[in-house]
Amino acid sequence: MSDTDTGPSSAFGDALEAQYDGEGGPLFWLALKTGFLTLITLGIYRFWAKTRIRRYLWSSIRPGGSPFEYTGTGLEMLLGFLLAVVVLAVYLGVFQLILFAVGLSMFSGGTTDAAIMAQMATSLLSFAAVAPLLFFARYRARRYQLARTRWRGIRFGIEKGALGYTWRAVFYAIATLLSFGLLLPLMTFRLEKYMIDRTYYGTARFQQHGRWTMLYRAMRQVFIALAILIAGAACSGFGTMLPPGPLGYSFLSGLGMVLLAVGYVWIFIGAVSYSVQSFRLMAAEKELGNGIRFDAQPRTGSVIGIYIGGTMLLGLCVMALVIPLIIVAFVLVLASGGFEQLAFMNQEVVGLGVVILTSIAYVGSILMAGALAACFITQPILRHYIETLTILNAGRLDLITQRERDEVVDAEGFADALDIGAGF
Amino acid sequence: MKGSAPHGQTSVPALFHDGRTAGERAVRAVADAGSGRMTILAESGAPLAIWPLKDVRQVRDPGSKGHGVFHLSGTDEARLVVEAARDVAALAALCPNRKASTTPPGTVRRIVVSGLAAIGAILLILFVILPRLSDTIARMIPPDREEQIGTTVVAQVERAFGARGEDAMCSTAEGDAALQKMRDRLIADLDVPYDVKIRVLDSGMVNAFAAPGGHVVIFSALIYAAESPEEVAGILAHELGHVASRDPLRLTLRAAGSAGILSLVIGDFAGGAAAAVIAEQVASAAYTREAEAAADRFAFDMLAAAELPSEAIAQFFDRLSEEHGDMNGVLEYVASHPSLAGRAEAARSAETQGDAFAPVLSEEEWQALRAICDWPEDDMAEEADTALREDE
Repeated sequence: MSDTDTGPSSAFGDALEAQYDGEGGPLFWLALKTGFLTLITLGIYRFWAKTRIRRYLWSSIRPGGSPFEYTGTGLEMLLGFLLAVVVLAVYLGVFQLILFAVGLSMFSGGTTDAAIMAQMATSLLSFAAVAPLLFFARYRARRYQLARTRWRGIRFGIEKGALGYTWRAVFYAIATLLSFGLLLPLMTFRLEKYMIDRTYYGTARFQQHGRWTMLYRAMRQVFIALAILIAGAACSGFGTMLPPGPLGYSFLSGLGMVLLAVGYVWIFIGAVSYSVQSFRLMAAEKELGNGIRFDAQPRTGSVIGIYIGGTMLLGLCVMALVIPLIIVAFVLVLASGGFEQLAFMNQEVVGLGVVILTSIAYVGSILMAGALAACFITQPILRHYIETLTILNAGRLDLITQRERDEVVDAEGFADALDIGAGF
Repeated sequence: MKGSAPHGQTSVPALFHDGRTAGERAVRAVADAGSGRMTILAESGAPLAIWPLKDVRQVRDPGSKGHGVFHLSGTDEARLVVEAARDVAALAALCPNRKASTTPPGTVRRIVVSGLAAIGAILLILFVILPRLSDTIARMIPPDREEQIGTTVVAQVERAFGARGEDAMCSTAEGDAALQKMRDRLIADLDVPYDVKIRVLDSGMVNAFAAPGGHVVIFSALIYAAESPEEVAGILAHELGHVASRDPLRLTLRAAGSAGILSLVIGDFAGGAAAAVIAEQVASAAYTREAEAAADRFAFDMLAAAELPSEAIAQFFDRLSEEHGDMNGVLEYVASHPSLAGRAEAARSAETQGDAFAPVLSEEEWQALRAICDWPEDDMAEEADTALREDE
């Protein structure tokens, strides 16, 4: 061993390529093991499970060879969760009750259109009581995760600001709804900017440059999908006006149906494309400290490929686990009917066997699906995003110094209680 | 100095982050079990840090491909990243406490205190705050609004449980008159802000219920299952007890408030959804049982005022429990009603009237009530037997 083989220490070069070196196997076993522990502790271990999975994923992310480090603990998350539960129980209990009562007093009885509208308005109102909490929880969770993330020994952090984020998010969400989604880029960009402009790496602050209108480029596939859907609807509409005949009615209606089906699938492609491309566009306009920039090149096709391939693999593996168990259970039932004379095969034993096999199949498939999703979907997508990321002007990182540790008492309890934790 | 401590010395290439800046240095980590120290040397040979081996920790759950991250326990934030798996192993072998985790003192106490506080807060909201609040809010909803809500509820029940779909409410001149007579005897002085509306639903289920706004619906199978008009009067008195305390509205409000709170706590591990449903059932059953017991007590007072025997309803409960068994043990906590045996006993000991009483209906009126749905009685009795289910 000489001093020359010190590994990938190209850190002094100006561009840092990020590498991801997590592997499927170890992650699968870690997820399966922690999932099992979560199950037998009635869910209490989930905080430690999440922590361990994160430690694994974080330490696999290695811009320029230095791994990320996750320093959160299961204990912190448990305590944060307990705190959040108290606050949420009070908030949800009181709000749901009051909203329900408001709904009742708007309620005119009967099944007229007006009554149905009133009932719909009531359920929308209940959602409106929870929606701001989701945004609040998202900001708090991001704050906790960043405060517990280090790279090169230096902590990340994000300033307090969950309330400001919440009301902005509610405002932009309403604007997006009222504009039928046309203002989605405004919401995406402004919320990202709000978070990024408050994010630090050590003493250096991140900034989000650019304009929200640049994200319309990321909406291209969505617009194509909408155009197809509109064309399909128009064809179907015109088709019904024409007299029945091989060239008029049938052709147009058939075409309309095909276009609607294609448009429907395309909408999903559009959604993934928007998320991938808006990430790419906004990454190009991010700046850390004075002049450290980023180049992200994730590809929509790769992400969709991972989703489809991963889901198929996951389905196959779960079936490979469940089908043999079901066959054994089935054979047991048949055998008990066919060979009743066999003393050892009495009905109770068979019944018990079938129940046990079915429970194993049920619980096992849930555990397997979770662990497989981590290694076939979550990790490959993370890998793709990381491996297509480059840090530019990385030499300036040397000037960045450590920041104080942020105490985040509620950890990400709100996100956890509201069940909006991301994939990991 | 070479006691029982691990022997040997190793020198591995690594990357060093000093924990103060984001800079990165290629270094050499020289660990010596003899001196019990690890020295981190810059490329120039200058020592950057000296770590006691017993205080060196390794970051757990590392990503694969073998790299390892070492650091000092405590508040020191410097990190040593070793790339090659064999170097990681060589270094780790010299760090006896690399896996030790430090749990801050008082951790168990903190968990217990926060856990108890959380459980206490949940119980407080479910059993103190929500009930009070729903009672207050129930009083704020105007009676005419409540009656409209009740009309809708009754129509929905009629569609779901009626033998003849949407048109399952029974009415004959004689049957209505019999119901009216029973009602007048019971509610001489019932103080509610709306009209009490009692109707019979053609249904094979032995049941009766009160909906918001003074609606009371008796299922026809219950009338067939009863052996005397006093038994029906007892059930009716119980439902009127619900009407008097506005239970239908209060309990609905309470359920709306507590919906989802427990699933919040229980989370989404495998089988968690089922656990949450059971927990909600237990929690809501606790307060519906309380309301049922209160309605029973109210019914006894009402029967006493009407000079009718509570013994009749006790017999009715006894018969139901003989035919269908009772819920005891664990199931009792899940059931929305108290156990039948308990209710029968309470009714019997209430002794609202001795054996001598003026019958609530004459034999003729009783038969008219039994014929209110105008079906051949034999069929109905049979159906009642097969479908006997609820007791209200």
